[in-house]
Amino acid sequence: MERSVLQHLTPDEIDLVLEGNYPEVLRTHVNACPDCGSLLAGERLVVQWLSALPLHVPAAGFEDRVMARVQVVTPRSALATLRHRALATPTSRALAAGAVLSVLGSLTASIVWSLGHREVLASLGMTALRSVAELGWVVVHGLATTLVEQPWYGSARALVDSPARLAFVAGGLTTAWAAGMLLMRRLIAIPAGSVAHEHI
Amino acid sequence: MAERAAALNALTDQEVVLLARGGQERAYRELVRRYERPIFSLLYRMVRDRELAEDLSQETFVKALNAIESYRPEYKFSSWLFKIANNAAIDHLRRRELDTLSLEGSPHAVTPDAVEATALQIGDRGETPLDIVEAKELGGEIERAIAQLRPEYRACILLRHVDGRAYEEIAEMLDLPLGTVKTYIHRARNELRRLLAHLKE
Ligand SMILES: [Zn+2]
Repeated sequence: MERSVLQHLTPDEIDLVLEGNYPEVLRTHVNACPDCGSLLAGERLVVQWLSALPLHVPAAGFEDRVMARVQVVTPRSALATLRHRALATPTSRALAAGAVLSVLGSLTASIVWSLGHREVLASLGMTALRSVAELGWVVVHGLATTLVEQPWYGSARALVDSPARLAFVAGGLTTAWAAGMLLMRRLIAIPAGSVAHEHI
Repeated sequence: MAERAAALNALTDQEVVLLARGGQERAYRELVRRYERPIFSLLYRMVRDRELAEDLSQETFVKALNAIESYRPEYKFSSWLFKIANNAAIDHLRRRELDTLSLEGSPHAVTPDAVEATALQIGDRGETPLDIVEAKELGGEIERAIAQLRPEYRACILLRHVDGRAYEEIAEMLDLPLGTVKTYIHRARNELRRLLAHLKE
């Protein structure tokens, strides 16, 4: 809706002008309307007086009096923070207790159940073992077939033909594997500095 | 030491809070230094009693700093602090209103002698003695006019035009709808214009 130049300023429009936005339509009205002109001048003066009020200063030693009653945080480990959070509110305590109980409960239930159903477990175990063995054979067979069909199979075979060459290749592969493991461990290690702020 | 203090000065509130949470006492002290004057000024203007304002300011900082771990960093630290301070003031004024009501049967929250107990700290800006007297007189008049506003108008107008907070921030700090905050501020400005009309020359 278009604002008429004849309308008096609304409180929101006065705010707008006080904040430094003075649209032409408002300016035109204020210039022609003594009521809005004096209202705006009065508001400006009040705002100016308020913003010029000085800050009051508390008595000397305020900072020390506050600090005497403040307990400075001791940085905690991630585990301690987790424990602190779990015990912080009644809700978090209830949730933590629920989680612990359900883990303990399911552990106990599975132990009790396995004690009462040994023969079922044994037959299940045999079936599982047979399936795993069959699957293993299929995989090994498939891999071997694929390997033999590779064009580089002949030369690779020649490479490990003698016991000395075989030992050399095996040594090389072991070193590469060990180096890879070391690198991985370094990459996934957590930087020590982040522990103190982990809860933020 | 001076270098470390200067480094702390340059940090944002959020960064100082992180240091405080990491257990650094100097970060706590920095937060007190940053806000002791604005918080004390707000509370002094709300309750009109120096000693009481000092107690409430202390309460505010002690409460905030002891709960620094529960402060949510997505919220402005100063808003959080002002919210605690304002709650302390409003609680006190409500209690006092109840006491006055039961003792004297009067609903007025602010006593006249408390209103008179205003002392401004002005200086260090190169004013002449006459400037200071005039500023003190003007300042005193304005402080007395603010004291006559309803407490909820007072909190809003102080946060808006003395501390320069945005309407939305005030609404969040005082747990009030945005429209209510605007209305309170407009009414407070009207009241002040009326109360201070004799100063316009
Ligand atoms: Zn008009």
